[in-house]
Amino acid sequence: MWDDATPVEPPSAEFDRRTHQRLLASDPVAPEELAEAYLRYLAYRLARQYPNVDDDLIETAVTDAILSYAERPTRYNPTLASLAGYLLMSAAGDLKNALRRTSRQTQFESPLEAADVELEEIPGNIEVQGRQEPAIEPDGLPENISWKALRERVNKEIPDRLDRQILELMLAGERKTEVYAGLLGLESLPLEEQRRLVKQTKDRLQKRLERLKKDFNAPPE
Amino acid sequence: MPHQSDPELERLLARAANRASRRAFFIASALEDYRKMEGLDEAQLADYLRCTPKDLARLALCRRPQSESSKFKDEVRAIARHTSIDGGQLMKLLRQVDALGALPAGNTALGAFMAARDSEEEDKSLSGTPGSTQEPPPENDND
Repeated sequence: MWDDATPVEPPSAEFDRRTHQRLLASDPVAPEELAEAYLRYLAYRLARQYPNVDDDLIETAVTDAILSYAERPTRYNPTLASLAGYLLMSAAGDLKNALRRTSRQTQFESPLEAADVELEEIPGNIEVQGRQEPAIEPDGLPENISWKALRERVNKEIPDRLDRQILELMLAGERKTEVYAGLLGLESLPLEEQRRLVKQTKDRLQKRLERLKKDFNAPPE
Repeated sequence: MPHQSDPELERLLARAANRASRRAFFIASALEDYRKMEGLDEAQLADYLRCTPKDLARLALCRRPQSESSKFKDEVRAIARHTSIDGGQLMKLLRQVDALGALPAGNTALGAFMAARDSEEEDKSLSGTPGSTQEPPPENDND
């Protein structure tokens, strides 16, 4: 049902700020208002990130993320991410755990596999073992490393799906802040704040990517 | 506070209320305990609190006030105003569930009796018409 749902806007930054303060102050009504404001938005966004996952699992993950935050608001640091982005990441984490628990992870494609379709559109892609793979030269893979091995390694080193989606966009050469901000749920923040948080995320992932490349280049033990 | 009808949101809230019943932090857990204890279905529980099942889902997602806290009555009032339920009935329910939770197994009847007796006076002051927002008289008790 979330596939064809009308796009849902996140609550305002002012609502987020106020609600966070109220939760910290143990306002008994704030958890309900938080749920009312965020349930539909998060379900819509998470369903778009995981299009092949049951609505039931999506809604459970979203619900648990909201309830957990309401119960322990100190876990969220407003200086690091928007509330929408934080809740979305938390829900995605819950969803992945649920998929692992129920051994249903094979029902959806890994992000890098899913990205193969999109990558066909990117100029410079190369054919590896019958599949379109992105050419990431000049910072490309060492010759003895297959794209499959890289994919497995990336999935292991960067377990968060949202992080991997952002990494895919980076590899695909996406430069627009608004694209990353949308993925991170930062749309309601001022543009400068969006730029800062997007850069912070990209820098963090770039470092992980560098580390991965170093590992691949290291001689076998 | 009246809410506009939105079936999809009501469904999501009801689902969230159900999940919240497993967490002691939320009123949902107390509602579930009380419902089981009294053998009530959802509609009967809504009747008891003089509200609709939709109000019940919203109530369930509020933080559960602790009956030992000095803020207990204020918090129950705030919740009652927000969700259009009867504050007196909610206070009685929460005290009863808390009392039973504090007792060893087997003493449930005694606990229910004690909780009902202890809160009798406050219940009278908070109970009113369904969804009443009337303020009780100033408190001068010692709890």
